Amino acid sequence: MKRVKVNTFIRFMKLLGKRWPVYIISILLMTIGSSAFAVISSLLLKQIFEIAQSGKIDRLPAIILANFLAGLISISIFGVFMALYNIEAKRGFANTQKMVLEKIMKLPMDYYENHHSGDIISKLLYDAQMASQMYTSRLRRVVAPIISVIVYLIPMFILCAQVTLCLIAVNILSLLVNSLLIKPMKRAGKEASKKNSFMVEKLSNLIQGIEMIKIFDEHSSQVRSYKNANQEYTNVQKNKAKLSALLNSMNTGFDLLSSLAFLAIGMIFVERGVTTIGSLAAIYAMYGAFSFRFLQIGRYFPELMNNIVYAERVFEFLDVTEDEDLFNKNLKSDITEDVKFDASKKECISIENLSFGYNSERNIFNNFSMKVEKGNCVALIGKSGRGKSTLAKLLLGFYPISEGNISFFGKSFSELGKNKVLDMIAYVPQEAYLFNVSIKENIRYGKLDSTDEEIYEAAKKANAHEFILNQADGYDTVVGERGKMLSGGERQRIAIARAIVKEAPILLLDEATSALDNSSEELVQSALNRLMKNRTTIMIAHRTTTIAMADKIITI
Amino acid sequence: MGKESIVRIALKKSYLFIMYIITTYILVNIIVVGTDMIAKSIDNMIAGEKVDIQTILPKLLIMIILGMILSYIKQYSGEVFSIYIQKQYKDMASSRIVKLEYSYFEKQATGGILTKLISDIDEAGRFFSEIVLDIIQGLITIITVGIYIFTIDYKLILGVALCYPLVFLITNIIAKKIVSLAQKRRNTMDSLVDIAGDCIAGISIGRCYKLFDVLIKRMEDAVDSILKTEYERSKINATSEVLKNLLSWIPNITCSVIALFAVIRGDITIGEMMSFAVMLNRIVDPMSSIPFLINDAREAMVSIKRLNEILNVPMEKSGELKILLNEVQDSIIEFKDITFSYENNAERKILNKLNMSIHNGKVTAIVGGSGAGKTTLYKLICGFHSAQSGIYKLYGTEFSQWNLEEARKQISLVSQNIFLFPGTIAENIAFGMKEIDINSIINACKMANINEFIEALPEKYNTVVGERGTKISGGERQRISIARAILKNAPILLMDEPTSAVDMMTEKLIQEAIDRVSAQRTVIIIAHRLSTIESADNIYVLSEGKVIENGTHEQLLEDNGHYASLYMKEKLAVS
Repeated sequence: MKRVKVNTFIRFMKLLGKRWPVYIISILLMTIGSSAFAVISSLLLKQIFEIAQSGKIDRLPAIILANFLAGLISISIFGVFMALYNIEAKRGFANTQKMVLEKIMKLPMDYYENHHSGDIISKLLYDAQMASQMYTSRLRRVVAPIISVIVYLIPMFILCAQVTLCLIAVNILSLLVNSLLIKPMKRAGKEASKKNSFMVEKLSNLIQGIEMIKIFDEHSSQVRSYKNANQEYTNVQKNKAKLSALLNSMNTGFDLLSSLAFLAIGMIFVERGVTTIGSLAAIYAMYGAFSFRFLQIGRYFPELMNNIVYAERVFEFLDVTEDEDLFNKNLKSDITEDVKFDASKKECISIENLSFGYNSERNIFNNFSMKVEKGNCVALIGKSGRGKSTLAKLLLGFYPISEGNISFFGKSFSELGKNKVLDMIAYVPQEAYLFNVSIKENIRYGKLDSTDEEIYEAAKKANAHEFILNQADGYDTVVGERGKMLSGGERQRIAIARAIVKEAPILLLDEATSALDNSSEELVQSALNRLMKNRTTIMIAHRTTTIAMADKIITI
Repeated sequence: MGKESIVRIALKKSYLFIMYIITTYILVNIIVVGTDMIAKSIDNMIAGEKVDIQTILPKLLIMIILGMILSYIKQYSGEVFSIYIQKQYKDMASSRIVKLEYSYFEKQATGGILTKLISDIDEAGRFFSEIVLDIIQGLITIITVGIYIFTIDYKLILGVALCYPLVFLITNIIAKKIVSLAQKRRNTMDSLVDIAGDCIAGISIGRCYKLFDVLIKRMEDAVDSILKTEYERSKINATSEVLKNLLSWIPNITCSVIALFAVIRGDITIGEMMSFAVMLNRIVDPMSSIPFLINDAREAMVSIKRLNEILNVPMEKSGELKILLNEVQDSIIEFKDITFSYENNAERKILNKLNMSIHNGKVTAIVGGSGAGKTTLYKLICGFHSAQSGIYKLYGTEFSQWNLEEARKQISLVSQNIFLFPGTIAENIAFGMKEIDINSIINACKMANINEFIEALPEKYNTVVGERGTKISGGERQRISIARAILKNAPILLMDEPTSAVDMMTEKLIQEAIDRVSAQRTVIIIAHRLSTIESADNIYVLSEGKVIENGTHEQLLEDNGHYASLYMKEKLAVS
């Protein structure tokens, strides 16, 4: 169990990258700087007490000057390395975020369908941030005290070993008590994170389903559901607070014990001549800082453990298997970009004996076969829910096929590799998705190196050029979240322009024209006609108008 | 309203706050008393008397135990105070959010609203559990210990007080910079969440067009902007920390020297100087921290301000009317010279002096080209937006006079954004209703022609649907949505493109459902597939925000206008 924790910790620290030595050295120097500073001012106190008892004031100015300079140097070192430490820590956090973000984009398609997006975003916000607290504060707060303690202990021992030893005994006791609280605090932390995710999901529902809620939810059931989740979270928070308070109470006890008892014991030693009041005052001044640091080990260690819990969740996420075909560059090194396929081959698309289901109980395809000749347009029709959209997803390689074979121009998917397959198909989905960028960018996403002229041409062919020019900023108009600034028909035409600009040999249209009304549908239809001339098209359609254009109709 | 809202929430549990103050006060006093005891013993010892351990130790022990108990109470009440505030706020905000104006949701990106409620609440929680309480604790310490030092010698407290005006001056300069950086940071973090949400929602397109690098770059750029602000923040933080240390140190030296001279002059004893040194440590820390805590508070206030924004966004305006005053007229929905444009594009009139009348018990269809204003109509009917000019009457009374909830009880909506909540199919259909028995649900599903499909599923009505109902095909979601509307049993059924996403077979099923349902209701269908609405009692044809034709299917064909030509085109294509 402990081993796992250490491994997680090391793995997470590696995310700091090559600059981790800078990070570690900064913590070291920062801590030494600040502790040296405290030691210097304590020694000044000792000297003042001695002068008070002896009455020799003449040495005072020299002493003060020396102390002042030493202090200034050590505090400057502290400042510089503190800034450096923070910068490296934040960079580590940014690295973590980037890794999580990259991972989010690489997962197999069924992950997105099985996981609530609120959960995914919650991970981004909460878990990465909480885990990164390791760099941004917790680690330092555990390591720094250890260094400080050493820096303080040396002069303290020199001044009076006996008193120092008594003090250390008290501190060790307090550390032991603190460590008892580690496990329960960790558990409470995990609970809190789970409840929090749940709450974020409920909130996300409230916001996304607002239209439905306003019309249907007369009894505010969704709000109540959120409030229940909130209540559960609050209860867990309260439990955490009780543990915190307990920890705090223990530490206060030890704080008082050490302060008061120390002075009492110290007095006894002074009385017996073992040490002087001046030394006692200096030890006391250092002890304040020493004890504070010592208890910080106790205080932050459980919290560091807590951070590791979050790091585990982050790694759990990072370790989810990616969509290998697309992202594992090492795999299949014998498939290169120039896999030769004969583009003049008559048989463009071929599906043989395909059997597929999302889960083991319900098979959507059973031994299905289909052939499409080059340049033809095939319409897929069939009752809703029978698998037309699924076929589109399979053609795009979204789900792995275990039974059956799909080939393009005579080369099977496994020969071509997913990357090549995606290059060959231009897809227009049922519900057009527009990213929250400009119209021009949305179209450019079809082919990233398109020139502006190519984009305008594509828009004209999709009959979108006119309405785009009517927008506030024309092509540079940002379309809003999911393109909500535009109407359904307008979004669809931009999606078509995107497909046009890709210039792929195969066109896959999933009920593309169904959201348009009759007049614009006509325009788009003629555009698609032009486009389909030298391409092979698979159309998933419900409407008689679109079916009429097909060379062949296949029922699923 | 300003920051009163969250503060008002805080005031409700002020007893926790008071408890915190009292326990802190007692704790500080314990330390003062203890130190004083020992100072006196030191003086006795220097004077040559014996130290009376027997009396001192028990007293010290009692103080320690008392301190532990008080510390528990103090910490717990402080944290619960903050937890309560966070919970109350979230409850209030959630109740309020569902009543906010619809345009708020159209304007705001989902991520912005989510970030506010998650991380800003955490920040506000920190404000109440750490910052405010630490400031209070600091003030109590300063005052209590300050008084004690004063009783030793007034010159000592003067020395302490003189060093601090400079502190406040310097802190103020830094404070402003920190606040603007905090705001910048929040904004960049909002952006990151929005961009990430955008990329995930569009993952299918992202895969198809191999947009991985482009989308990742968008996100990484957002992360880098956050990092830039963090660099600035780190530098400023380091500077403040150095200042903080200097500000506690220089007074230390000054006061020690003052005390030294006081001892040499004989104003105070060495024991008193010892306890002064101890007390100085206790007081200097909060004195130098408080200005920086105030800085922290200013940063947190940025979050609190944003939270209050949500509590202050205007809610939907509702009138008072709750029951039908007149007997039901023939024309239950009336639009007179309605003109409407969206806020962000005020020049473009979506509806331009539109006139329309929906009759009770009849099926009315609204057709027209994309962008003609059909979708906006349903939003106006439901009260999601208000027209800039013109009159909209529901059941003979102006809509603005209606109590909004009552008005919406009259309407069942089947819209194009079919949102299915994560839950079972039964829960989704019975959404918003209290205690519906399964038979009513089944009947509604039979009417909507979806019952067969549901019964064929392994878990039937208990099948769980994913976010936005992804596991179910478009046509099936459409029919579930219709079943939901039927179950509500409202007098007006409003459907926005009910057959746009389905094949001919399903269209037939939906049409059957509509026919069954329209026997007892008023049905309004917005469609562009003319085959769906052929049998409607009245058809309105919209173009550029105006009604250009109106009549039954046969009448419109006879008129041989816009409708007729559209219809011909559709029919021709079929053959």
